Amino acid sequence: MSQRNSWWKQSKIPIAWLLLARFRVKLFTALIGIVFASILLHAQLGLRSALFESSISIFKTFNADIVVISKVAVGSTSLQSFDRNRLVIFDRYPEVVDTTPVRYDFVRWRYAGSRESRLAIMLGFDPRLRIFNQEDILKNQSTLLLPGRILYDELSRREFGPVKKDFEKPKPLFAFVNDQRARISGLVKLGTSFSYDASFLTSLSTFELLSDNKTDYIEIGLVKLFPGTDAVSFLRRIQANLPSDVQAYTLQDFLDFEKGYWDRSKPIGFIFAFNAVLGFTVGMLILYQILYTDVSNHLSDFSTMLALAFTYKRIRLIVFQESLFLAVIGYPIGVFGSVLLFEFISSVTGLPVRMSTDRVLICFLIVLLMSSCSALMAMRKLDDANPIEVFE
Amino acid sequence: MRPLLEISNLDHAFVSGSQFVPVLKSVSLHLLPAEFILLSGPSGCGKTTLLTLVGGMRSIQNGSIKLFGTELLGANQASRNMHRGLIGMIFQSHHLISFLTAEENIVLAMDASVQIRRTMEGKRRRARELLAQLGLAEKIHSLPKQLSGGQRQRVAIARALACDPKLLIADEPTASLDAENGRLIMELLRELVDTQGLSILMTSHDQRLYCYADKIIKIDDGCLLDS
Repeated sequence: MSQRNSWWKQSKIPIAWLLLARFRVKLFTALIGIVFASILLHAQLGLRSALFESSISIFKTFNADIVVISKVAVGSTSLQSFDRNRLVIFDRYPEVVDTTPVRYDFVRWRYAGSRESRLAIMLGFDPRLRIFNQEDILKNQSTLLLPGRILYDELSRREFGPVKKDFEKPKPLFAFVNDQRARISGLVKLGTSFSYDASFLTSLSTFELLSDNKTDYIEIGLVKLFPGTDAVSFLRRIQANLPSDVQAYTLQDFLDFEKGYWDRSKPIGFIFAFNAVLGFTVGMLILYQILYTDVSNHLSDFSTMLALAFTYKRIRLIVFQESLFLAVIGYPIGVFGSVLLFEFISSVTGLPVRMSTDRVLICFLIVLLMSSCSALMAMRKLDDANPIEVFE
Repeated sequence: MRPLLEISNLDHAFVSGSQFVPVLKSVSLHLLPAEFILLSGPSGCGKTTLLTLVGGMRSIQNGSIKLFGTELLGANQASRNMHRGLIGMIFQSHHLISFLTAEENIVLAMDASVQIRRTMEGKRRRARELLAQLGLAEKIHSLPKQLSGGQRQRVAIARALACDPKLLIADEPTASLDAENGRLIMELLRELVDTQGLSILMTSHDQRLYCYADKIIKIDDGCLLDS
């Protein structure tokens, strides 16, 4: 106990802190480096996360246990049509409550009054069924029972027309889908992604009406199992009986399949990860340069400390502490900057770019690692500090 | 009386290219408590090398240095470092830490010593006492750049005394000062020997300083000539 008391009663001059606090320009420059690196890391990892999140934003609201897609599909952008009768096989199993088709296609969208056509995603489903676990869809889907009606995603990019604003006015709104007129009967929140900038929902019959692809073929089949049925073991059991032109996943596996497509099959996931590494490297080099210059400028001070019986280990610790102080001070500013940046990106693109607690912690660990690496590299300059020099 | 410092048959050489250049040749001397020895000699004669060996900054090649009865020959870096904490050091230039105030520079010396176990408040109190003793009470918060040359050297002396050393080694402490400040520093060092029983081993080639020392040892070409 007495040893513990004597430990906290003794304290030392906070050299590392004074080396920063008494050189404001250096402190400011170093903090800019940390803040810049933090924002770069957050931006890249945030966009990477948004890439994955946005790719499944519609699918994750499916009220289904199993998702059936074409065998050749490698992701939502390559969903191919398959015969809707392929779903019949599921109806044979007593675990299955029902099966339902979902249509999915890219269509030309032109808002009434606009001359410009853009590609949007159109999803067709049976509005009498609960296909989506999303309140605004459930509330509005009955309007789709009337032909030619659509529910527009209010999170779509603004280039697709001021639908949300106009919807508040008491007059009917129309858009042209593949040059055919459709009435917007409600707004829902689905969100954009890196593969599409707007989307809307409609009934199966309207989908066929508006689509160029008027067939008995579908793009997605949803299977609902009775409560208590293990979807994984059910799928494993029926896998061999599935037709050769379709593949089936549990909902979670389908979401992972979609994320994996963007992560592994498209370069963009890698680019974001690579940029995060680049941010780490640039931040490390900036901080290294600042710490190295600092050590060089104070080499005679460090030599004096050695002459005063400081050990090399202790003066190395000073540089290490400096890097930690910079990380601890700079990082929260970086997080704040990143939140502002995310708000901006989100408002412009409609992408779900958000700050998350786990990413804040992970990035903090990365920034600590970055600072530590910089300090370890800058410490090598301390080998030039020599106590004998103070006698010369 | 048992000497604080005993140097016997000390040899030291530097490597220059493929040659060994001897700088100290069979040097022997004793420093007693409350004794002031001045090592005098031309530049490059080996006096500073002798101080760095006593200060534990170089390892001993041949011969013996006993400091407070402990042999430094064969001592490792950690052991020499510990001994360095027992000695006060004053350098030709003040070598104060540029970004620390006068008070902090003195506290830092206490931080460096493993023997000093004071709280931060205790260290600060001691620093203020020393600065007041050396006439710098109003300069405790001044950075080195805000002090005159003489004031900086006095802070350096205060720093050297911070850990209550029995031995002070000083390498031409007045060389960078004008005559008046040099005289004041030397009077101060003499007073420390007379009043506090401090032992001083100092180098200088300035003959005007001889009057402050108890013993003058001339050194030339690495050899002690006379005393």
